[in-house]
Amino acid sequence: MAMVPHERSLVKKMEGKPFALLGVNFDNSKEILKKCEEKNQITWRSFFDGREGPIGKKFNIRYLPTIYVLDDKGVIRYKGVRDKAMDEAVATLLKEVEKPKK
Amino acid sequence: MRRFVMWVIPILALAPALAAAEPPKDPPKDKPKADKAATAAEQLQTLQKELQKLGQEAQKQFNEAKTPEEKQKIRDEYFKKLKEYAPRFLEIAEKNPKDDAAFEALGFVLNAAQGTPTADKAIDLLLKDHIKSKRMGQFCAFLGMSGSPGAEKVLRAVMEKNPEKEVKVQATLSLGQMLKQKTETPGTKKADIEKLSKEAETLLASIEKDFPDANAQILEQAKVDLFELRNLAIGKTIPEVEGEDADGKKFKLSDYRGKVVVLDFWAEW
Repeated sequence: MAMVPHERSLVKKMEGKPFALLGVNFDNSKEILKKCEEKNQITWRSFFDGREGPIGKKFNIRYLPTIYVLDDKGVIRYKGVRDKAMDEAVATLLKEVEKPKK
Repeated sequence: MRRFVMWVIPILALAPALAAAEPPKDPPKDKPKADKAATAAEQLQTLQKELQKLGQEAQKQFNEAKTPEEKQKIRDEYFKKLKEYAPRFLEIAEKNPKDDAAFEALGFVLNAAQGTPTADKAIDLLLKDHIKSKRMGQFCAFLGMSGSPGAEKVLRAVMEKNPEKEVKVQATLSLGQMLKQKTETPGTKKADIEKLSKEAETLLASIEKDFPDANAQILEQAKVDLFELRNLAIGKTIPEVEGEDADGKKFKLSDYRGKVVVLDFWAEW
């Protein structure tokens, strides 16, 4: 939750670019998730997984938040980046999308 | 707060984890057994009590600190103090090579004094006095988390020299996990990452094959780690995620191909 303000500004900054922030949420119910999204102006979507949900299990999640940054092809390019490091990761990958190497 | 708890606890939690074990065999013959054992254990207990107090104080200060800088300072000071304790723990182990207390004391030294000559000495003692111990299993689990070069040396020696299957399998798992962890440490070179992942994969895959009778938890953990290594490492295509959003609308991660995606696993609690 501590990351929400930064994430909100990142989403805002990236408006119109080929970028998406997605969550996987482990709260107890969709209602709690919904309320939390409304209260904190969370405009991005989350997969609701619940406590001990199948997605969390598949990804062997041991602590929160866990962050993956994917390029436009779905390849994992960064893990665990926060704040400024997250911004830089996203910026680097966006450059690749905008200027294909080949 | 959660992060703080995570780094205090491994050190303090070590004692109870290692305490549940068999009594020492072959006590040194030159001194009366009961006396010496009691003394070593008592010395250890005294030190542990001091550390506990230190940890509680640090936790309190940490909680009260207002800025990240202050918190960092408290954290650094706490680690510095722990390091200063290491030689005293080492001394207990040196003087009581066959004692249970030695084992515990060395665990502390390895954790608190990573990368110092004191830790190197602790590694030597562990290799010399304890490598064949049945209790090494629990210790391996702990060593795997520390990630130090010394820990790696001990894990490899346990795999090779410890006669107990349960201990060997734990060492294999811990080493596999440790190498896997290193592949994700910032600054690791690409060639090294490839080498590390390859060995981690071999080790983790060997568990099911070579230790089919190991306990279910270890087998399951090895599987999960292997999946992570093969599918969730940097450079791999992320596995599909399918589910519903807060409104109950179905969607998939692959719907977002063509976009750069930050995937954040989170919860309000």
